[in-house]
Amino acid sequence: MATTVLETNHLTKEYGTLVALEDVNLSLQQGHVLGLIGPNGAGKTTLLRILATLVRPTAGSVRVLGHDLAREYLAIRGHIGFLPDFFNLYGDLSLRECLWFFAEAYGVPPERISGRVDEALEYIDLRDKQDSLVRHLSRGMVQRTGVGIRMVHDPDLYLLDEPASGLDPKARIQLRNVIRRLACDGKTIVISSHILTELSGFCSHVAIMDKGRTRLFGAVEEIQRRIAGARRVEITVLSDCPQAAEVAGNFPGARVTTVHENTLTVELSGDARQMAALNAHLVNGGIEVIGFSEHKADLEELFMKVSSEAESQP
Amino acid sequence: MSKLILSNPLIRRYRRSLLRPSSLWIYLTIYASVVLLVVFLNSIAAKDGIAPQPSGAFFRSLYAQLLFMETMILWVWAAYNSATAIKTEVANRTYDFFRLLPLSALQKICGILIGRNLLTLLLAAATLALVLLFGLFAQIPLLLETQIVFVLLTVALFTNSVVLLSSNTTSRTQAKTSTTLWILAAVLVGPMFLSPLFMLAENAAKISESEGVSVSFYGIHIPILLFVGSLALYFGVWNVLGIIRKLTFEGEPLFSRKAALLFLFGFEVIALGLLLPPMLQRDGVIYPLWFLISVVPAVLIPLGSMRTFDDYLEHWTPSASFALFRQSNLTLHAGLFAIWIVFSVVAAMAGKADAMDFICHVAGILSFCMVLLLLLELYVVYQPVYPKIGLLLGFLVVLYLVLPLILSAIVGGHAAYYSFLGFFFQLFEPTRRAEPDVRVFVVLMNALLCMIPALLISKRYASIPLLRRTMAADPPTAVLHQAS
Repeated sequence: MATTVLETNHLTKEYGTLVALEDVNLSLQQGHVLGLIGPNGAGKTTLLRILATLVRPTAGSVRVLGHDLAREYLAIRGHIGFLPDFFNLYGDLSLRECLWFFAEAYGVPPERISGRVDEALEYIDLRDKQDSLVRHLSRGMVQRTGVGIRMVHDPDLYLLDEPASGLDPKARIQLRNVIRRLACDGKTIVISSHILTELSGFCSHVAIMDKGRTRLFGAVEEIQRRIAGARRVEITVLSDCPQAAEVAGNFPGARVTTVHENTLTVELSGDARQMAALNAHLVNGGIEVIGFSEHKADLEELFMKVSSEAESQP
Repeated sequence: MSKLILSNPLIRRYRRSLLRPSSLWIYLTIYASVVLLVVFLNSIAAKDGIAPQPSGAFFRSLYAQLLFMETMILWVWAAYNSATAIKTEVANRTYDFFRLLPLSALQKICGILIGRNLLTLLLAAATLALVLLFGLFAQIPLLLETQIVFVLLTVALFTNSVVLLSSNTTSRTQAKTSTTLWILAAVLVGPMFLSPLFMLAENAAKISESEGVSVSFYGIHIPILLFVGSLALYFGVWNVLGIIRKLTFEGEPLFSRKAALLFLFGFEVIALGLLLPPMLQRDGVIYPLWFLISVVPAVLIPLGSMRTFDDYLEHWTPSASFALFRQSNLTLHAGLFAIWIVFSVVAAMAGKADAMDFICHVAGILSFCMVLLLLLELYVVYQPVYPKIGLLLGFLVVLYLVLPLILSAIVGGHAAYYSFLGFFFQLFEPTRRAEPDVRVFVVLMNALLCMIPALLISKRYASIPLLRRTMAADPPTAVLHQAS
């Protein structure tokens, strides 16, 4: 049975009369990667700072690996790796000393610190800079070191707040690779960004936030299906696209939505078996199919759809 | 102890950056040069001095100078380092990492106070060794040396902790707390700790004399240095508790409500202990002095334990609206002044004060404090609506304190007694003491003045349920403070 790493129940944060977060309910299992999406002021940073034990919630509860945030915040701090949106590192220490300090502070046994620091340096690809003072590193390197210092104590939950903000494209790609690697290694990650392409590809879950509320939360595939209503299948044929459209249209539960050159898009209700049956139906109907794939809405599409639905609500 | 000091990661982190051999040798060279220079100049003065030096004077002189140097290192240099520690973290944007370290608040405090001052403490330890050595040669009594070391260390704890606490200014609320702290420290304890420093600086020969000076505390004679050191320890411990509170969760006031009451209780115990012996001897000046010393913290502590209107909103629940009044600043003020009254009664009974006189004084002082604290509460509840209301209320307070004095200078009569300052002044001048009917009028005037802020405050308190309902109806957006 998968371990529940993070669970929030009716989490609310008010600053006086300003409700920064309201009734946020999330649940993440080990290995889940949650992308927090939303415009500036949506409450992403507040949520992350509460999860990081930096801000006390007004109401609701948070549990990290079973520890209650209100009472066991010190224990929780040992399990999380939080990277704030704007941060710097100790410029008077060398990169290696900096990683060493965090390993010590987070209680890594002395005999294992050296190994952990070496691993982290490899991971963030900065071994050749280990003796440089942190103040001499570039912004991108500092950002990667930020991930490195969070790695040395091997946290169960990473909380990354806009990790790529302010980075140039190359540094952004390098950082994204580091985070992707963490995701592939089965780490539980909560990552916020308003640049959706940053998150696409490695988020298993998504929470769309707006004005302090979670408009939508769930597994990406489930949300895609729920929002789209039906599967969208893109079919490419060798020739005679109108006939292909006619054959596809005859298939039960299928509706041709667009026909463009030799590609047609079909909305299909049903599961993966139904897709396979449609493919067979086309081939049996004499259509020379050269491409058959399901189109999945990316995060940008999801966000725009949810946002427009939220705006249209009274 | 091992977790706090020996294996404290913060201390190790500072050791790596501060004690790098490449820079350490420079500091040590400068320090050694200064010490050698002091010894050299003193030996020249002893050898070629115009007046003949008494026996041991050379070592006494060195002892006093190095002791002064030690106070500078521990009380000024170290305090500067401690004061800048958290500010540096904030400025360098490493403060979140610092706060998140899974170390206890006490480990963090030790990490800063010791780690950040590693170099300073190294030099202080070397200086202390020299001080003790020269003290031995100068035949300074061992008991006195022990007391001096005690004062050095406890005042160092106090100064370092107070600056560390006040440096925690990452928000506007905390900045205000920091100002409060400085006012508290300056008014309550500053003079007590500076006196030994000046005494030491004044003359080496007086060092031995100070051994005989003692303080009568509840009639028990305690050596002055031991007493000052104990006071420093008392306030230092409260500082450390304050830092623990602030490092645990952000935006907390300096004192919890319980701590505010306990702190005042301890302060009144100390003040009464100091003033009781002269009161028993019916010293006329001491009785008004008691009022002055004992009431100042009762007025200042509310600044350090102030809850904001946001806190009121946050803690209000429909099922327990009465809880708001229990949680409000006004109930804390009432508790503080209840403590003050109890101790004042004890002081009055000990000093066999005239009962009527005592009641008039207490009622007068209390009425002035009520006006001031209601204005403070008015600021708390209306600041979210009128951000500049503090300016207006500050102006009103100045008027309230000064205008009667100005009127008194122009028209004469009893106008001065209607100012808090004038009221206090007449306590010290028995010949110019106000007639009982004037004191009654003072209390009546203050009671009238209390009515307007009290009405405005209660109106604002009453608006809280409505504000909460508005927030519930339209949660995502900022609900403006316009309900009242």
